[in-house]
Amino acid sequence: MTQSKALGPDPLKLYTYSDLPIGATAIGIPPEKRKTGLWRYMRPAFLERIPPCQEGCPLGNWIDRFNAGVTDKELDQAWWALRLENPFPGVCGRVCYHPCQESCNRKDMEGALSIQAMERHLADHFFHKKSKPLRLGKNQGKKTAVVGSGPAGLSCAYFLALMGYDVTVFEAQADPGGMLSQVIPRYRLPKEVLVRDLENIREAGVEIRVNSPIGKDLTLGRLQENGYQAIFISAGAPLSRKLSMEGVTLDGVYWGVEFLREVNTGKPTALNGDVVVVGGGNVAIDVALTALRLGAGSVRIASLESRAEMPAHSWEQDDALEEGVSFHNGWGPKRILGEDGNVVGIELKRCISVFDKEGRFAPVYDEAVTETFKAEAVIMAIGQATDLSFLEGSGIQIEPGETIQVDPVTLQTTVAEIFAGGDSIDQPRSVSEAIGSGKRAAIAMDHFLRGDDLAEIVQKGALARTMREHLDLDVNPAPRCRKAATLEDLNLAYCSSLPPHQPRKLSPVDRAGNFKEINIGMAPEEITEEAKRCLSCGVCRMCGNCYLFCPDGAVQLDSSTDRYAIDYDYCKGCGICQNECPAGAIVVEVEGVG
Amino acid sequence: MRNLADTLSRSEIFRSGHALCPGCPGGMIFRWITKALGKDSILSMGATCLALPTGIYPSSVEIPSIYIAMAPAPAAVSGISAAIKVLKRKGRIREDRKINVFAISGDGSSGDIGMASLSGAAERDDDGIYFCFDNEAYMNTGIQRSGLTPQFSWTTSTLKGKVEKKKDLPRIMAAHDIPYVATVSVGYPEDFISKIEKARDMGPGFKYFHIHAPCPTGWRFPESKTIEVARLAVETGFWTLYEVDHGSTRITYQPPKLRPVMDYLQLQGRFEGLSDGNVRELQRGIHEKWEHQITLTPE
Amino acid sequence: MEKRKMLTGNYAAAHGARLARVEVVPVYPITPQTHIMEKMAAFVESGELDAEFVPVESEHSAMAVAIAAQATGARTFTASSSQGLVYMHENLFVASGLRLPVVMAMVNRTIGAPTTICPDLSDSLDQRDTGWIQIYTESAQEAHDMIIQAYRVGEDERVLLPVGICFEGMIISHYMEPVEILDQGKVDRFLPPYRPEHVVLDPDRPMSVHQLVLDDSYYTEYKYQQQVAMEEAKGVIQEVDEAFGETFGRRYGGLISTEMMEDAEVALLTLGSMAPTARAVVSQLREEEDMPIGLVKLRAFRPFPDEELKESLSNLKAVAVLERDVSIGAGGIVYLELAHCLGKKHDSPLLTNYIMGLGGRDVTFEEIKDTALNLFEERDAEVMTNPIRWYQVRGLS
Repeated sequence: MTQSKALGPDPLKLYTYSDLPIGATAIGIPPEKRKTGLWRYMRPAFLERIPPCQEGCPLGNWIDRFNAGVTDKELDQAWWALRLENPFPGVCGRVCYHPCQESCNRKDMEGALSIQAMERHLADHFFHKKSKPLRLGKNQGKKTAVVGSGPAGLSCAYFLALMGYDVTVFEAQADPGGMLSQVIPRYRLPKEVLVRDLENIREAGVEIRVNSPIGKDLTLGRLQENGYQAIFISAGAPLSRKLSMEGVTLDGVYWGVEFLREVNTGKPTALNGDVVVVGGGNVAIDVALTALRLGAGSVRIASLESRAEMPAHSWEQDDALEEGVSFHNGWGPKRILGEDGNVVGIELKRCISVFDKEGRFAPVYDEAVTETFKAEAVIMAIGQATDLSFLEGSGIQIEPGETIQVDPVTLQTTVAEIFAGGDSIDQPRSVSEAIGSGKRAAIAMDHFLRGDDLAEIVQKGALARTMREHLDLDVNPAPRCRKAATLEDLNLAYCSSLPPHQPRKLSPVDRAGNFKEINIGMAPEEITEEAKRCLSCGVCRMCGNCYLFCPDGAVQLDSSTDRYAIDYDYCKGCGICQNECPAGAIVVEVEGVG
Repeated sequence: MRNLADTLSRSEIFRSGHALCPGCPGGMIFRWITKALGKDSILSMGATCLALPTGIYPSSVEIPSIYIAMAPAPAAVSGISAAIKVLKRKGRIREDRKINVFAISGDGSSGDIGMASLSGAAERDDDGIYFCFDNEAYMNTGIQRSGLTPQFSWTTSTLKGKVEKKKDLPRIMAAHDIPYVATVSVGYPEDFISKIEKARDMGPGFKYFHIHAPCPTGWRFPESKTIEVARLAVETGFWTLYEVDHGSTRITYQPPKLRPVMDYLQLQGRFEGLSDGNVRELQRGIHEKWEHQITLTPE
Repeated sequence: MEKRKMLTGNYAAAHGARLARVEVVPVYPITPQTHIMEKMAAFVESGELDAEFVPVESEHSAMAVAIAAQATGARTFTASSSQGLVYMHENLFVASGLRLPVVMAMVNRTIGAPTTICPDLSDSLDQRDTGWIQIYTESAQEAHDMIIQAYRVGEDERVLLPVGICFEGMIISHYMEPVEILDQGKVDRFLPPYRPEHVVLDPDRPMSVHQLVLDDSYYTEYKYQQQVAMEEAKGVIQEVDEAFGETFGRRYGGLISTEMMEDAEVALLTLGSMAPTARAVVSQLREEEDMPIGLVKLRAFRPFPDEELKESLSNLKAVAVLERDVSIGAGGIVYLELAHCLGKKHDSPLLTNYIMGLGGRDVTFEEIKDTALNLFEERDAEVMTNPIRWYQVRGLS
């Protein structure tokens, strides 16, 4: 060829007529491209948000991740993600009050996702399988101690062990587990489920010493002398709150926590006739259903609060109603009636209001309006109390409400090397709150043991709430926004309306007179379907919309991370990726500002 | 359901660095079409904004392409496929090599100036896939009305809104009794791409695609809303996704419930001047269309 | 073996295309070209020609199909006339701009209004700025031969331009003449197969054909390339004519052919079907009256053979341009180009222009002789008065 050249013109060179390819034709596709990213004035970026379920979870469970594992039928990965953040999947899959579901963005659509069922399914699926213990850090060569083996203590111990610390847990009772083993009724939490979780915790490297109360013989000071460089106190709230009232010393009057502990530890307790339970919390419900199982002829719950105000969760109330428990709302105990030292009834007085204007508990009664019920037993379940007498002389400050004074973020007590959590501190009393506090303390203790300046970390807002954050284990290297993803952040065009699946329950007839577990969970296929309902709020699920819809091909899979990445050389900043992201995991900012 | 992004080829035959406006649906459909048809393809480029990526050096498409003039993109399909046929017979192209010949052209060049060429190639059933990129006006020249501009739409040549209705080009094409006619939307890539794959894997013949392609520049909506507008066109019943496969018609996506047409109109500046009566008229038109096409209770 | 047959110009051209082994034939019917279309369809149908016949829906598409097929690597052939040629006008620029050596039989006919189906060169001359090579022929044989030459010229890598072979409708297209149909084996040796490299739509070597050159980036250079190719074509047309003569024993003279020009003082210059009549007039005047007159037949109108014409004509006293076309408001198209080419040098011949035969009106021996005799009367004038002459206009004295 005399006139044609093998390649098209180089735009940087000025060609003569005889250099140009002939026929107004660009021959071959040259490697260079126009840098159309220069046109951009808006800049999209991947920025994942916190899913609201995780935000609602006191222990910051990696819900989107284990849920994705269930959806994709990659259960090993789901199990790994679950155990990374929760030492008690079997327990939480049953007794947690699942605040995650309360914050689920599907809640106001067809109903929240049954996250708890997912958790339980994973724990059950791996119940008989040996799971390799997680190992997240090298042996640190440092000793730590935990006082109390309830959910908070074992949580702290588990995470310290995962991070490579030697951990010894000191438990006063003969059985580890605290409230889990001693108070929560077996029909809610079968013994073997707890035992399985405890096994996993031990396998993580946690040593539990039972019958080892801290106080008289073994003091905190001794522990420190023995080389324990940081100590976590989680002594729980093992006692019932007491009330002085006429008749409380009669035979046939029981106190809630102690009553449940006796039943759980196998002390023979038989009830018959009419039973009145006083209290409006979950313990009151536990007590009522346990009383029924022990032979009570009828069970009435008398609570100050209305049904809606009762601290007991609505689904617990529903369970009680199903089994024939009756509610007497708006009544408080006036006195317990006795004959020959035995309970024969209870006189209740009208409660006009429970809370004051500021919402504090301050019941007002109309003493003139009363009602009397015949009763063979009265069980008082009006709250729990701590026993912190063993801390006397330790230098740890105690709050007026008989809880340990801690920094609200680090959970450090007034003694630098001692941290505290669970029911021993002033926080909502629930299993998940307890586990969450144990984890937060473990993370703070890790910093403390490394000699980091905790105050500075807190000030920067850099103290992690989760293990994946603390140890930088997130799968997506993109930065994560601290804000939870709301419904408005999502593109619901990609969300089909899917009805929720409900866990199955034992019928009330089948529950009578036994402690069989009420909740039987969901079938595996239902679980998979349920998992698919997840909207993956704020978290990229690799749907590929950003990649497919990018008019400029500027969103491509990065082979080194297997995630999508934006090539700003070519991104024109239209923002379609952001608009079409179902999960709300992309943001758009004015170029040069962010 | 498959993850479309994972099953499509990752290779970008339509490359970044092209000269289309930000948010242009053409960039997407060009990527999808070339991903689905592969590198063994020849492109006949018609007159459309989409000629810019192949026409301005350096080309953004890694397949051979030719542009002739405004009208004759379909004729070029005929010419290319005729040449391939004879060159295969003569052994200059391997007999078993499948080369996909396809054309992309605009709504005006397909349905107005190039109507004869399109109709001719279809009637001859020449081998190729024709994509009409319908952004509902002459956009490259600056938003003038075409035969495919919808009624009441503002353009720079219908300042008070177009009086006439939109020409129903896919139905005209279906009347040619060609092997395949499909309507698609950039808002529904799964539907779009599976139809391309179907047409690709058919025997020789003329296949026609009509792409509903919202143009942020010409329709006056923010460039991030291209897909949203496309989706609402379908969800309101304004645009229908169907195929005519060897004569049998099938709706390929049925909205769960038709949304009011206002949801679609209000996003776009070109419909700003519509009266309530205009909106009612459009809504009535949609109802009538759907009653003919499918039984569906609109909102 | 060559075969002699009575053929119309249309059939002769079709046979030329068949012998050139064209591969894609898109055509749309229009009088007077339609017989070419019919014959090509028959050749393909019978298997005499291995090609794709594409019965397009318009001339516009005919040229588009030809361009696309040629760009895919196939040798293409089409034919058109009159309105059809005008209808494909925009695509003619594309074929030449993309340097695709499409060959077309341009069977000349007037352009309406008013409409006739009779000959006139206005349709093809009107395409003079499209970048096509245009060769005008005077007989079915010449049309036949030139179709074959056209491919060799157009496909020459120095040229790479489309070629139109023009002959007048009815007069040449429809009247039968004895035509020697060339031998396929010899044609194959004369004309190698089309194997382009500059523009090919080949997935193995992707290229983007027809670039937008915005902001004046290279438009001038691309146009200049075409100009260079046209200049190169002059030599190539001559070379191919010589090679054709060596193979087939018949030559046409390349860009122009001159006859009886020795010692001539005046000359007739014409093209197409008027050439044989003019030839008869010139030889009668030479032989019977011993008048010093010659004949120049313009064969190539594009590229315009300015050097050759200057050389042949500059020493004459006067030249009459006889043509079957007009550019309204100026004059005969060939005359205008010739006047421009010869310029106003003192030794340039005087020029007159006879616009005649429009709309297929017969141009007789006597009429041409009249123009020749006028030349002798006027040859010594200072200037030519009223040089552009509408001949044969009824009512015009």
